[in-house]
Amino acid sequence: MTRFAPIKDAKIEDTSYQPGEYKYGFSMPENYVFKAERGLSEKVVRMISAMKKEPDWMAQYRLHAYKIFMDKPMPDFGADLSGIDFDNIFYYIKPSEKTEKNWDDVPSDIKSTYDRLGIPEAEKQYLGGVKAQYESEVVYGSLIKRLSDMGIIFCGMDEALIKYPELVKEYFGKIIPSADNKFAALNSAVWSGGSFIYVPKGVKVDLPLQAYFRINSANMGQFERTLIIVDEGAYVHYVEGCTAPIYTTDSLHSAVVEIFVKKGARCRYTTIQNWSTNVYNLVTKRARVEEDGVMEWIDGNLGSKVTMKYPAVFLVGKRAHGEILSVAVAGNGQHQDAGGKCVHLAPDTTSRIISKSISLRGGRASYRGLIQMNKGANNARSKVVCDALILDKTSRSDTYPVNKIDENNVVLEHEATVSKIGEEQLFYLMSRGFEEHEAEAMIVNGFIEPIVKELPMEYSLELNRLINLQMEGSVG
Amino acid sequence: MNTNIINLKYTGRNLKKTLIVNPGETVNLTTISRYTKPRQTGEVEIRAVVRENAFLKLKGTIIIAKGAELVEGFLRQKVLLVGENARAEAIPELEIECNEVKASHAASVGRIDEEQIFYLMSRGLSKKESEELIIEAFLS
Repeated sequence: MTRFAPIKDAKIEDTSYQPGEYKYGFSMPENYVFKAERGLSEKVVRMISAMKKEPDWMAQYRLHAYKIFMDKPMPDFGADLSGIDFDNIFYYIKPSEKTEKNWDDVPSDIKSTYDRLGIPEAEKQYLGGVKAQYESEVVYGSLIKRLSDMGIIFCGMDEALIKYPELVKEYFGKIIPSADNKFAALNSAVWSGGSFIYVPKGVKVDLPLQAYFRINSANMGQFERTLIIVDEGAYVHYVEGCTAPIYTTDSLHSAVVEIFVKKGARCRYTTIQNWSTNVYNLVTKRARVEEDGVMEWIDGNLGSKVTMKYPAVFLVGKRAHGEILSVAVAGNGQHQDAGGKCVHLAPDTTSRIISKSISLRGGRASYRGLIQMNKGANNARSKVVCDALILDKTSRSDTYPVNKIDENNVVLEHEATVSKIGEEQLFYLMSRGFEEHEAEAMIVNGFIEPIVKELPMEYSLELNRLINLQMEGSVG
Repeated sequence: MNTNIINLKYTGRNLKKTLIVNPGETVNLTTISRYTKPRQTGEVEIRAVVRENAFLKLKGTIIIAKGAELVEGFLRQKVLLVGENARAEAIPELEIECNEVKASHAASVGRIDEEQIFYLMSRGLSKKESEELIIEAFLS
């Protein structure tokens, strides 16, 4: 029978968004200050470091990581990465001379890109601060005065290395060492851009801080590096969005994100990843949570060709709590290998993972997760729920959870279901007068609702709209 | 310490199994339920008690191949950790290549509920007796 009935009457209000069209797929001419040669070598790593005028320890750190990258094998699990040609990638592209504080000073091609993405508008309305990264560098940065007066630091990672060398040296690479995996090593060697956030003790940031990552050139490798330190009793919500133009050749995005949540602090990290379907998105994200701290990852994976991303929470202090909400949509030619990890290292720690995946039009969505409770994590509790919807015959869904329990006084629950849209649900809604495709969209939106409701309003609308766009007219 | 290692493998769609991993033992139990034809149904349920210094690794996979429509597959892994240094690893996996199916799994690892022990002890049983009674009920 038909799954995802085509729309009978054209109901799309804005004609510029055709069904299934990727509206961020435009590109701008390349007027760059500097573009490194293709491929990776020790020379390129030294050159990046020299151009950034970095301290010597960072140059050494990069070179050491480069050696690890060359020696490490590719991951032996997850998605097919054989399409990545490391020699064909541009590892460093500098789009402009410096990070501007004023939109008007940003070079016009870059500015019009962000205008089309709606960033300045969003900033005015509901954000506390913005970072815009174009290719390898942060081209624009702002933080409203009220927040900077409270002692909050929100700047590009490169800027932080120069302005706050002590803080960076203390925390950089401490949760994700270069040797962690091949792509963490690659990022450590050629990282550029990314955000640095420090929230002082007891300060609650009431408006979200946002970073927006944009790849413009073909065969670009973007390697941003983000470090967030939330001091005791503080709170911050960080949001990131990512898009890129559509090219026939592949780009690579490989970020490293490290988050330190101190005693009693809370950090929420929201990602809406909507790369074009020629981007390999291989990201390592990890947070370390101390006593009574809370870490929340909200992870939306809609775009990219291949995503391998498992945000992790290390609960090192008593009563620390970790939460991972993950939603993945895998369409034609996409493989979303997403999930989450929670490692319980202290008593009374709790965690929850909710994963919702939708695969359609031949896409493949996988959940890959880990719950580990070490000896001494007395009275730890964890609950994992992963639900998958498969919308047509050509799609695939997998669940690969690992639960390692080395402490007997714990509770762990894991549940997973895979299903299609229920005939009865559909029948009920249609009997109430909805068209088939409306009923289907409604069921899908209901399916991801537990995650969408955690997003800021603007993002939940965007997410619902994106998912509806992906589904329209798909026939199984 | 783990002198006795037992490897068990089961391939099939229906299984109900209870298991006690005795002190010092290591048990690896793998179940694979493969559905290749339409309208097949199956249910695998494992209940295990792991005693002190013992280790249980449970790996259960449900595979639903392309074209195996209207399949219903279920896997349940329940582990009770009793005694010091009891450890367990539960890996319930799903690989689904077909959309007209229902597949789910559930895994839980936990300890004996203190309240149940308290209730039985208030009825005059010793702590040891209460534990054994609860284990018996869990496995039956």
